[in-house]
Amino acid sequence: MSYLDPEVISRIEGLRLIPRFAEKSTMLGSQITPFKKGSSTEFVDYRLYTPGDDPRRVDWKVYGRKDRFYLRSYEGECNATLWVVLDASRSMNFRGPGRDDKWSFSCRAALGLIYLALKNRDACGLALFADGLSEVIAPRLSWDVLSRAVSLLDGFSGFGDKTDYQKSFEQLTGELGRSQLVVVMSDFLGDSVAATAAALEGLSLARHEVIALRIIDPSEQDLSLDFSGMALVSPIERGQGGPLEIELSEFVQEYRRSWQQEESLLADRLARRSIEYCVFSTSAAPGELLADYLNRRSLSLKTFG
Amino acid sequence: MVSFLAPSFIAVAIGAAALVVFLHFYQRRRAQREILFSNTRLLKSLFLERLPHRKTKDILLAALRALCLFFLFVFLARPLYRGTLGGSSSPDSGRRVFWFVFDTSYSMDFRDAAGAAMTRRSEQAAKGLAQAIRFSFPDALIGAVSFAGRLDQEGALAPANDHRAVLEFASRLNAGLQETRQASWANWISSRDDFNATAGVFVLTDLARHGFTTPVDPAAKRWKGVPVVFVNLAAGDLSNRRLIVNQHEAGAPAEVSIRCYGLAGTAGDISLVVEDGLAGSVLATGRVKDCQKTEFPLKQFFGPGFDRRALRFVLPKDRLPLDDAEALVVRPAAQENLLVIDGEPGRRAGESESFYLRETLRALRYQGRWSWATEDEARHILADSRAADSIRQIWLLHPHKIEAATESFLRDFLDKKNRKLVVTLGPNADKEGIEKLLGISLTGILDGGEGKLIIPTRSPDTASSQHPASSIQHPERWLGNVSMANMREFDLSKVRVDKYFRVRSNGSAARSLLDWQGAQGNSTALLLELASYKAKVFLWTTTADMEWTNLPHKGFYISLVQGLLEESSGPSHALNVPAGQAWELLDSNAWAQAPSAVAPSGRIVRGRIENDRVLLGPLSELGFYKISWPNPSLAPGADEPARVIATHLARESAESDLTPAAARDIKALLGFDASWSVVPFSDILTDPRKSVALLKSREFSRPFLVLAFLCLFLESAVGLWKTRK
Repeated sequence: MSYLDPEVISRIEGLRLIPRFAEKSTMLGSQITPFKKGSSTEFVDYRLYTPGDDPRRVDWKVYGRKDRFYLRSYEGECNATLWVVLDASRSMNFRGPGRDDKWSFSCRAALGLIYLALKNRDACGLALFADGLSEVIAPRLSWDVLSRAVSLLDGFSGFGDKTDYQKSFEQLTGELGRSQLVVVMSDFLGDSVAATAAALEGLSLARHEVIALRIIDPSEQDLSLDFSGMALVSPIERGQGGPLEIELSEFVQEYRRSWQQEESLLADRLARRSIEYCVFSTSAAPGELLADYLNRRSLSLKTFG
Repeated sequence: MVSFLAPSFIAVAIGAAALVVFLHFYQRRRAQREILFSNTRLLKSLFLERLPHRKTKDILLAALRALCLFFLFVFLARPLYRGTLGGSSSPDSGRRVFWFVFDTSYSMDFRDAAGAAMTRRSEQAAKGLAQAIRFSFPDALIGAVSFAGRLDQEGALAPANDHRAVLEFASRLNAGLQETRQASWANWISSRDDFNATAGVFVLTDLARHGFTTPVDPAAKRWKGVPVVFVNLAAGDLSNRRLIVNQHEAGAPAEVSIRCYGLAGTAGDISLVVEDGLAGSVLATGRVKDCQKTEFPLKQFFGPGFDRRALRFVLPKDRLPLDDAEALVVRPAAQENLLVIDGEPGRRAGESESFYLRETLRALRYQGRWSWATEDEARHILADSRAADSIRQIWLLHPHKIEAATESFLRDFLDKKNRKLVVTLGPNADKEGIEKLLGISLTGILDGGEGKLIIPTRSPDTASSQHPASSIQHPERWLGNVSMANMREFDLSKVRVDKYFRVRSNGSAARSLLDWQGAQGNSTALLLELASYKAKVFLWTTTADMEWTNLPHKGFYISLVQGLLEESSGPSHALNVPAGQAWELLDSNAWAQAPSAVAPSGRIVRGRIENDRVLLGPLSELGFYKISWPNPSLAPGADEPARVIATHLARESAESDLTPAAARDIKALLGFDASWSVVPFSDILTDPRKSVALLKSREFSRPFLVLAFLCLFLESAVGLWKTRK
């Protein structure tokens, strides 16, 4: 079964993933940046001339009437490059009772985003990582990217034993161009909160717009496993120590509290670096969550942009 | 210095605590399932954060559990402090009088497997203790006294520095027939002038609980500072079974019930032996099937030549004749052939006496043959001499008219030995015919009328003066007055019909079961027993159709009929006598010379005649007395004279119950703050000095019980806290 989910496509059809700032490009894309005034034919506003402005953009007719220099602003157009960066560690294979695993959820969402970007005439690339970058599809404005991504994800089985965000994102930075939109889809469980946040901040410091989408199973959030007695809890990935012999029911309350604290801590740190952070739970449909997120983001940009 | 009364529990205490610790470390809970989880990093941090607390709590829980068990077993070990086990000092503070108190109650006759009575054990214990006192306290004065139901004050040995006198005193003791009353010695010693000089008291007893039931003089509870050591002679291999043979001489059912106590649940291990009471030979052996009730068939012991015999029921491992009914004179159930002559045949069933009598015979499962006949039919039956000889009882129901032919064959019947005639009389009865037949006058006897029905019971009471026949000395008392209004509600089913009292009518003695006190105060016997010719006659003035009696509708009716059926035709004398009392024969007119008897020990007991009564005894020994009659042909029931008398303990005595006394019983005797301890007999044999040292020690086991409960409480609290966390 292919991860290119028609239901996801249908839910996000017509929406747009708008970057906060658009890069200068020789290619005209569909992205209309609200921050930069461009050279299109769509008039937006007048503004007073300030030293350093291009004198060619002075509206001399207004000068004749007002005896002051005014510049004409036009709506800018740009095309963005979207990188979908997908966590391919073993922990993404975890599934709670009666639900899909996080990997298939992430793949559906990721292919939906790639489809959306290409449809909006934006270049798009895909990267998989675990303890380093494992697969990369370079960004191009071509439907070929989607078909390659589908074939890669549908047949993927090389999950990493460990997650190393720092190393992976450093390698990713080498692949990225200037000011690109990077959507990282991961459960962010492989490392401590501080290390994870630092790695994401590194991407942001390289002047990329980073969106961190956390894909989690509800049982990871509230420890609602289908067993409450004495259990031997083994980690899925390496690097998390040996198995624990514990009474699960004893830890439920404390686990939930600690989860909330870590979640808040991560969200705060990312917010300080203007990294958007959003949690997707596998208990809902990916198309629904994605559509909801894109709508909220568009609204947010119009309001605060 | 700390010692223990039951040191074996200390080893158990250490073992129990060690076991808890072992289980704590080696029996941890194991995981039941392996789960793969993606976020063990967070779980692990939580686990490591909690680990030190968790370990502390687990260790605390294990420690509390171990301590709880340890303290509990230390409590059971009964620790003592200030003991000087090898002590050789003189008694403290001028106290130098020791008392040896010997229990000589009946239960002290209990014999162990070797056949030694507990009185011999007390002798052994006294020997060991006296020597230990002599060793530890050379200047001590030792006194001795024995008690049972009361203290033998006259025989008490005054305190003296002579331990041999105590040993001689102990060697002379034998168990008596009285029950135990521990209060007797406690009251006596505590009221003595030299009580303040008392250094200690050794009570050599079986510590049976019933001995502590007698209330103690509150003033006597001043034992604080005077240690008391109870030497429990019943400890060890003595078991506590009680044998009760529910068999009555007069009732004589074919089976007997046996009850035993103390070993419920292991009844199958208890064997039961039936011995000949006189010869001592074993007649049969069996098993006690149920410690509450076991039926034992007796038919096999009776046959030609054995119509009546003495039997002894024995539990071989407990050869103490503990109970009052263990040794019995029993005889088989009445099997006399019975002829019922219906004086008014053809009446409706509910109004017919014959109907109720027939139903009663069926209900009783009367084992003799019985026939129903009219007067004409009866004449034909009795015309046959063999048939006439086989009939022992005739019940003549409501005779309307006694024909001359009937009178003739009834007179022949009455002229034979061991025959019985029961006549029921109603308003239409042929009184003249009956007077003519029996040769008596019924005037004043069968008047009837409004009045009270008076029922005697067996319990003696001083209220006998209310009896209408109060001129006659009789121990019976009134159960209650019954009038027409409450006749139906009166609980007659509780009345037993196995005792009689006498009324005098027309100068002749007659025995009556029921009396009718007429409105004018004249006494009418409802059920009269009198002698006519050689037979016994009962006149029963009750009928089924009279509202004022209505007896057939009461449970009493059946027991009354049963009593009449089983009442011997010859003179009846109880053959069971409480030990210590005399055997008494009431109908003394026939004898000019009293019988004598041979006691179980071989002693001859001669009878005497006092105030028209023949007395034999008092019979002070337990067991069977063989009676010899000076002239057997003149003895009561000459064709079957009484041959044996069985003596038994008084029913009120609870001596057979050997349940050991509890601490609260002893405290009730000595007071709450008294210093006392209980030492098993075996400890005295092994180390008598230890028991002497107890006099200077004090048991402090209770704090350990409190500590055990405290640990239990803390363990629960910690466990709850752990769960909530």
